[in-house]
Amino acid sequence: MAHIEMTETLLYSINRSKVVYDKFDDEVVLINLENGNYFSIRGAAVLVWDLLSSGSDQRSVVSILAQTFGQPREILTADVAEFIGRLLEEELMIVSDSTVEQTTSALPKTSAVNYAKPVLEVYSDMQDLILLDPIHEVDETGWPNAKKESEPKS
Amino acid sequence: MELPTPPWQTTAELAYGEMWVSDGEHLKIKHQPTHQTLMMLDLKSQEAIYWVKDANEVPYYESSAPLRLLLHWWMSSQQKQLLHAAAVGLPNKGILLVGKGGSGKSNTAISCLNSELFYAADDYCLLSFENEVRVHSLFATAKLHFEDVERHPYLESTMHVSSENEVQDEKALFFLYPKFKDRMIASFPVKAVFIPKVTNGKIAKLTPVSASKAYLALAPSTIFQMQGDRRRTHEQISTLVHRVPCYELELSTDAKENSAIIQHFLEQISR
Repeated sequence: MAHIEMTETLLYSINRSKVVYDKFDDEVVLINLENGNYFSIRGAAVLVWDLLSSGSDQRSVVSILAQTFGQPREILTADVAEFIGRLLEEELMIVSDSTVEQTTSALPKTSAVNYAKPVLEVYSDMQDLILLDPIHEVDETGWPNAKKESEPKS
Repeated sequence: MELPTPPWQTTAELAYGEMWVSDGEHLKIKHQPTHQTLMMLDLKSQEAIYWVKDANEVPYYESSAPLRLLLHWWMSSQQKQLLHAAAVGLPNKGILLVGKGGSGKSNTAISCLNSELFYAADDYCLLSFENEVRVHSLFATAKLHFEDVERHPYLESTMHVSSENEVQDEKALFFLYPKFKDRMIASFPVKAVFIPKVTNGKIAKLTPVSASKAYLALAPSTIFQMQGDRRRTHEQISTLVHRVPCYELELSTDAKENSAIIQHFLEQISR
């Protein structure tokens, strides 16, 4: 029996507490609202993003990429693992602690014809504009009494 | 007048010492200790306060875009969105110019003051979606890097001359009213988003681009320049770029070529 790494069966979800994103024809653009970095995902990486965000684990993603592009699984496994690592590092996705039910809806498709290693393009030029702004709330007695243990809001 | 002690905790290290406070609903406050300013907006009472320690020391950036942050917060509550964008056009149709500093959007917009086009903004404008996608002018000002001023000699008499006590801005500031009142426009429907690109060519050229490119040229700088509901800003800009076509405008070194290609594009649109 082939050894399956634990990480290959992890599920992921979009880190919606920090991230906004939009999908265009062949590209996903994302912004990390906390640190000012923004990102672009294109080509096969869009398919990987779509699969991960709709409940596929790494092993499933690799299988689908292999069927779609005909690349060796060893290469795809390394590429996808690296891409997932980048998504986690940039806090665009988080490991999901819930079990996502498999649905009967069709799996995401791609318009990409040729395989290219999934890449997360990062833009950091907005960081000068970012002010660390822990959002503080006032308590029920109102101004000027700060709420204790306030949670940041967007 | 001195400020009372702020209610927020001061244990966090903050860039520039600035603080942004929101109760998530009707109260918004920003304190800028380096500029000695405090801005507050109460959407319930519809009251806003701009406090500065010394009326003679209003920050220089307020001159070109006064009360910008308060306007951003208030307009957001009115379902309108402040954008980091320029806007030029005709009375019944126009375009937005989007891009980071140095992209050529301000120079291009300002050059339209010397054309048949009308000017709504060079840096900040207001977007609404009520019946159509529409842009609204906010400020009758323009700013240029000092090295670009000589390219716009028609602006000369509108240039603000700083007094000795004023902090020198990194840009030249122009008060366009009343000299250009006939070339300024309050509002028009948005028909396209243009992303200017500086080239060394003589020919201006328009090329359709994906909406994602326009989103990336507009959203990050708009979202991060102004504290507020960043998610809502993202949604508004996404709506914009999905609704109107987007183009890259390769700029000519001849400003008249640039205003001409914009005018020609608009004249080709039926309405």
